[in-house]
Amino acid sequence: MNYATYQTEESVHVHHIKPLDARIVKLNVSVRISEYGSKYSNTHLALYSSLLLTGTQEHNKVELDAYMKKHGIELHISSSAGCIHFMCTVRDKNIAYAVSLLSELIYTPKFSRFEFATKVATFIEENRESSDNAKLISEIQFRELLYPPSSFMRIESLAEQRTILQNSTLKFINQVQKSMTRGEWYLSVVGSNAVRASIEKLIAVIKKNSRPVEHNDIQTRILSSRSTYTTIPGKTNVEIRIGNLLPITERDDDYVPFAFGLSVLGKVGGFSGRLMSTVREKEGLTYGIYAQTNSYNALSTGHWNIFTFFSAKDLSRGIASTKREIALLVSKGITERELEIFKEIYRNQFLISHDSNAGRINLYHNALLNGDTVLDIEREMSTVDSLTITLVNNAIRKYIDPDTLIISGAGPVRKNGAGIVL
Amino acid sequence: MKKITTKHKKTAPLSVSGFKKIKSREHITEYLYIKNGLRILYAHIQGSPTVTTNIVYHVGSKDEQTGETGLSHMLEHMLFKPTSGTGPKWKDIEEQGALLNATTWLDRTLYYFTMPTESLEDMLKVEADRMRNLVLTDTEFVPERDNVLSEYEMYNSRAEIALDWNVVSTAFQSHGYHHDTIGFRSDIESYTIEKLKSFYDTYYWPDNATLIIAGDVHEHNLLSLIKNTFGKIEKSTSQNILKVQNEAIQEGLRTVVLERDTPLRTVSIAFKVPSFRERAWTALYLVGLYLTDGETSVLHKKLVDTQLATSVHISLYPTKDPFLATITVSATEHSSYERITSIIFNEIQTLATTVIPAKTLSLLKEDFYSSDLFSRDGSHKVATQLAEYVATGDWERYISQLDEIKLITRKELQDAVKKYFIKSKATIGTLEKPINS
Repeated sequence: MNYATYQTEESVHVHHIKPLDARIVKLNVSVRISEYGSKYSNTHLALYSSLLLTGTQEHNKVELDAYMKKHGIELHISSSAGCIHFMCTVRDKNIAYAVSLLSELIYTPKFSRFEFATKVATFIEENRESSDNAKLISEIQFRELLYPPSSFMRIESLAEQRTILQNSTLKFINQVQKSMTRGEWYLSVVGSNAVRASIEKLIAVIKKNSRPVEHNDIQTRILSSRSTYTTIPGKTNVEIRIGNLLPITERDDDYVPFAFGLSVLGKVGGFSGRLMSTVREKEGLTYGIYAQTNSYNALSTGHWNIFTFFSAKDLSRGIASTKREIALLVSKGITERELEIFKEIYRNQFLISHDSNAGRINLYHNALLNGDTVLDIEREMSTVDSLTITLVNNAIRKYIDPDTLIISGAGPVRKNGAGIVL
Repeated sequence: MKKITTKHKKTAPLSVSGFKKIKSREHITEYLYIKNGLRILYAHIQGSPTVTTNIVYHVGSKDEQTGETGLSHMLEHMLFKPTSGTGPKWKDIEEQGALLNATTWLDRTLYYFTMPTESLEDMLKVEADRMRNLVLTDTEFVPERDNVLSEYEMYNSRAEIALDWNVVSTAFQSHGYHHDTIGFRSDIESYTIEKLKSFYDTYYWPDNATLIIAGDVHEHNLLSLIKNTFGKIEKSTSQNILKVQNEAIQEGLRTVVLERDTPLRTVSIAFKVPSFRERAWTALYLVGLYLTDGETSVLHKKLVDTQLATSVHISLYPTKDPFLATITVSATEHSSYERITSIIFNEIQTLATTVIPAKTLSLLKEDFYSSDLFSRDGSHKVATQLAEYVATGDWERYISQLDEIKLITRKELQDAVKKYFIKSKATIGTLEKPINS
């Protein structure tokens, strides 16, 4: 193996990853902001990240754009749950220009009143349009059922987002800027040793103000059954989430066997999960149905859920079939054959992740953000290799009760869960 | 399983009988298997731990008759059903963790696998098996048709996608590009096994396919494997598979309205543009970047910065025959569609009468070149991209288009705008709320 190495110092964590193609450098820089949750919401961070390329002390928007085009720099800036992300792709010979740009954006952005007002107006319009987004509404509702308002796992409702946007000020955005430079940093770079050396200057600057940020979200009990449905007119499919809290962290001994068993039920992507074989292939009830675990990071508890959609006329059959498969997994567990198949899938998918520079940086940077290093990835692979049927089935039975499920739906559906068939 | 060596020697490739080397461009070599006409493209990626196979059948939605729209896509779904051949099936490879899927579009249907290099032989065996050994039964077909209907509803449920279908159907009257790849719902509901079998027997042959392999595989071993797996398959028995299609001349601006109960407000303007093989396509691609790419683009400044819209983008896809360049605007709640389309046509008129600055074109070319290089990352992406070039009938443009970009002039951009972005040849689509909503 030995695709990557890990270093850490002063709350700055770095993965250096071997490239497949050394001409293409991938550099992901993320910062976890300390006041998130108590002060800044997801909406604030999204607004802030959207403003970063509108100008700096040194360059206005047009000049920044010309700079990136001239030096062949692709840069995407985004935010998620307490973090700001800079995802950069550049040719190896131009890495110095990319590093210089990142320094400028991190330390000397300049937010004009015009750009701020335009962004706020655009976000408010997009918020209005989102009332049509059944998938988003289903997910928001699902998290509202699972988590208290103070949890980092909650997604702000559309109404909450609108209020935050309407009350946002440029002064507040500048405060976000100050907080950002004092966060905990995660850098991943796919490139040669020379490329790795060229980001050392940036790391040295970041280290001066970096500090650890504790953001662990802990929920300790599985919830009793509940459901919520929102009617969205003009749709033909009902977006569905089914699941419950998972009161263990990724560091818990039960986690890997649980996640493994859940992937047998509904591995994300492809056709290998049981749900795709039965609910889709045999019964023709949906185009896609998958299961996953989700948490803020490796030291937080989270939830497990199935995500899918059904037509209004197939809604009750679809939910019944899904519940049946959950019950079957709990009562009968996985088989020896499934154990061996999914171990092989896990091994090969790790290798396939290394097909490209993009695949490599996704794997190792997501691990960093989760609180994992290369060693943790290797440890997990070793744990998967040594799993037994007993470990997997015990974990599934311990944390899934097929009669205690949280269900959220949005689309052509009544509040009582009945599909609206036209 | 045969071990595939991964060393690539810098010498002339070893000959394997039955193949003819057609040409090489940089790291890509084209072969023909003479006996049955199968074309092979091998893209060598030094040091790749994985290999991708991507088999492109030269049949897509444009080849479908009225009343049978969406048949190529339905058949694509059926290629994941049982076959009569012995040997590994697609499910066996999936159960080893493969990245796999298939897609259908206007000019082609393709199937791909990405796996560690050692699995190449099994991947080829599966593709050879399902090329001619598909077993079509109602037991497999009926639930799968329901899945396709579910997929239809998934897309149709999204107003902006449904609007796009309507714009294309309005723009094209006689050419097979007229209908969307998924087909019309009523046609999907009327499919039979016999229709599928006839389509399969017309198009699924080695001489109607190009097999793309991307990775780090010794060429001699690769060609031997292909010979062992595809070598027994005969040439097609159908004649004249490839048809020439023409679109009737458009005489005047066309408009279409889609009524949906949605808060979205969308307006699209579609212009007819040349096929991907023409230089003007590349010129128009650069025009599209100038008009819509990023927050400093012309239309972003005129529409989003002025709060008439939340976003604007252009879609221009590589196709074998002339297709569309579509500018799509997400309009804000109270903005006027007429004002938005007027601004767009005014900007186009400016481009038709004034060449863009030289520095601007230079930056656009750099942007294109960088994006293209970054997208050629790994066996999966390389094979996926090459497949689209293959489908347009000229894989070499994967290499030559980058040279073409360097030489394109500002005048060529201007000429392309004058010739193709004409209001009287455009189709405008708008999303409206139903009157009684």
